[in-house]
Amino acid sequence: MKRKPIAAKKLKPSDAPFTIVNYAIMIMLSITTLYPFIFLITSSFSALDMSLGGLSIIPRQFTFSNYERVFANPNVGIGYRNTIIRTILGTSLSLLVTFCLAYALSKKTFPNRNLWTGLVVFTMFFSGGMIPSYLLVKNLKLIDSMWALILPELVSAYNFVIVRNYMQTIPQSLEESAKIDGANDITIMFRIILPVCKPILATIALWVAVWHWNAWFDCMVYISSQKGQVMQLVMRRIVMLGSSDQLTQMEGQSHDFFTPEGIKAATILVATVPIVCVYPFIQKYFVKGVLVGSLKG
Amino acid sequence: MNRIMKGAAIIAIVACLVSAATAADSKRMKITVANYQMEPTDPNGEMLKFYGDKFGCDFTVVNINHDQYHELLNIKLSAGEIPDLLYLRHADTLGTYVKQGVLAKLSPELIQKNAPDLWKAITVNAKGYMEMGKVNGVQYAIPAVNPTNIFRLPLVYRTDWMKKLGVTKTPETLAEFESLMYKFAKNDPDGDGKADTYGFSKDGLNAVFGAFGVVPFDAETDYWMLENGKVINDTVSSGAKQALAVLAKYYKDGIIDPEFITGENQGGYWALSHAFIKGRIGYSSHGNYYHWQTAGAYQSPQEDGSMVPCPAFANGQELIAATPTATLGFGLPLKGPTGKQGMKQYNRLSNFFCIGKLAESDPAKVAKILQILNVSADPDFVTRNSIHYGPKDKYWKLLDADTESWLNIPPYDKDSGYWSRIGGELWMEVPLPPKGPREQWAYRNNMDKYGIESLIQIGLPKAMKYKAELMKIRDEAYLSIITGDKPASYFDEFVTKYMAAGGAEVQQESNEYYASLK
Repeated sequence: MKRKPIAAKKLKPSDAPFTIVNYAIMIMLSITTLYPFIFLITSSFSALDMSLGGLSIIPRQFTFSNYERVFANPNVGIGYRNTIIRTILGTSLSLLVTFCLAYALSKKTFPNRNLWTGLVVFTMFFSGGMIPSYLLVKNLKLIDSMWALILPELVSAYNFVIVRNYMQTIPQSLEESAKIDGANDITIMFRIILPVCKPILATIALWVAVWHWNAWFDCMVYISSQKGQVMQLVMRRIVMLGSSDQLTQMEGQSHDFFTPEGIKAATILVATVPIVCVYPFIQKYFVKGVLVGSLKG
Repeated sequence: MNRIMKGAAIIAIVACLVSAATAADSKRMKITVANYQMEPTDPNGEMLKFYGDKFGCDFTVVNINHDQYHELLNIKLSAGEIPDLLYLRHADTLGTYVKQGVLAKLSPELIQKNAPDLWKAITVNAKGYMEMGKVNGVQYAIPAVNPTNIFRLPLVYRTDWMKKLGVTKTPETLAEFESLMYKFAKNDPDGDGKADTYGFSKDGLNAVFGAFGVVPFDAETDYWMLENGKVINDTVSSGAKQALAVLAKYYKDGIIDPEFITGENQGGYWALSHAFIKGRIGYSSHGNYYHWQTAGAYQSPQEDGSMVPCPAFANGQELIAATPTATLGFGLPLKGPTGKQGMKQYNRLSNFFCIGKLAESDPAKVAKILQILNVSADPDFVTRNSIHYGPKDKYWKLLDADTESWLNIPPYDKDSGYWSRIGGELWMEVPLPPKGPREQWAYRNNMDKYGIESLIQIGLPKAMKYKAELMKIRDEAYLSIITGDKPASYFDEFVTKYMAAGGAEVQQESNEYYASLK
């Protein structure tokens, strides 16, 4: 389909006020969205003692020292490694299990299908709460292990429902024709259904990956060793320090006065930029995928 | 799925083997510790090993993220994991944990016997604080008392403005203060020909309240005082009533910044008073004394014996950055018409240190834990600094023994959490008088004099329940009296309303609690 460029269409004079207001609102919206980012970038490049008070777009005294300090922190490396492992491992396992579960439960012939579906959906509305979850993970001996971050969240009921519903829209005839060609159930699932489900799997892969990247609370509860900390927890620890006077009071004795605003900003950027960079690429792919669909042929 | 189960199974087996192995080759007493930490502790942390050998026990630090400390501690407690030595980050939680039966009973004699230095440090330097660790007359906790909160809030004046207006010394009485504030507001101290200056803003209110001996209008904490033999909230005291009448007059005359309600800080670092930095007001008490340090305010000793001028910090730095000719000076708390003289001082009670219930049945363990806490109060500075910051000359160097000045050795000077990794959590805060150059500068400016402390420094159950509602009633009444919406006589009506809304109940609770400490 070919579209005419928008510029080619002449603006009617009566449309002008609407367009102007439209643009004005959009520009303001963009500024309010972008400003916090710009402010963070500015603070992260400001000298330690210069980030106190006063807002400006250009750093008052340009420096890389905040980033040097962030990367000198050994926990940042540990946090990155753990976050990347949990994101990749967690997302791929989650996709695999959700896909298998959804496929089985999308089949009308599956015995007691509604019961099993109901059981999964039940967890969407009722959860055990923090203490029972902790006891469960503890009794499974998963405390201090990466699996404590992956297994409890392996299947999200919401994602499961979305994938299952998507599968139910796939015409039965697609499978029947494969059967006629002599494919068995496993082949059908991975060779026929999986490619058709790509767009929806890309969608939930993005959700799960972003969730894993941003998650910190489970790590705080289940992981107590330094080696198991994820990036967001490391970042959070650095950022929360400045929220009270703790740092200056503790550091006061050693004469090392500093205000952590610049370091906070640098840490936030270091922890956020990777996922922000990944986002547009995946999003582009899956938006296209969802819109076009794969049922055309 | 199989792979996962296998992974989980392998981890479970390995975990069992590891714990079995450690149990077999060690018969030493095990002590688990939950304390403030900036980063998780390495189980083989250097300090844990050192003090473990010294005291003949094995220390395990339970890693609990400090900013969600109580939430995470509660999960562990409900799973039956009670640390042997645990710190209560929020002092208000003591009563709850006692009620839940989590804490072991202590006694003054037990503390005195096993931790004599600690006992002495607290009972001598912070009278009455040890009693705060009692619940229903039984000692359950040892208070961690902040050593530098002996310094009250500073009273900071723009001395260059004063000079211009022909005032040579900082005010000592409310009358002198009043006269100076009127000059700040009316006589154009910044010389720009515009009436754009005021005497003071939100943090200045405390100077006037202090002249009547009260701290009634604190944003977070209730201050309690004795009036006619009864414990009452400063908020409803007669001093507050008198001070409000004075403030209403100041406001009417344009002495108080009309924007005072939103505060002096406009975001960013909390301790900055932007109103003061930008030359809008000539007096402030925002932040702590060290947030007003100008370059060279005091000299710091160096390793080679030489002295180096201190750098500027926070307000002291930003004020000069904004107006290079500006100077600031400190004054004494103001003496009011009734003879009272004071200024808000932060609560010195920081947290509590307790012993877990599981250790109670083992007197040897309780004794050992108290002995370890005693190290933090050791008369020798190097010993007590080492238990927190690691061995001297490896992590830090002593610059000057007399002023107890020290400095972290690189790279630890840029690594604020290193002490948590090596196991510096066997430390607790002890109220030994600070001797550092910065603190001596504070003493020289009389920051330790005329501070007003709260009689009760923990939030009691009813007080916590009604706090939000009562503070709302208070803020509405105080602001409408100051801004002239209501006459000063409205105060009595406000007190009736405040008492009816729960204030009376909280007051009774406070009196009972205060009596129980005796």
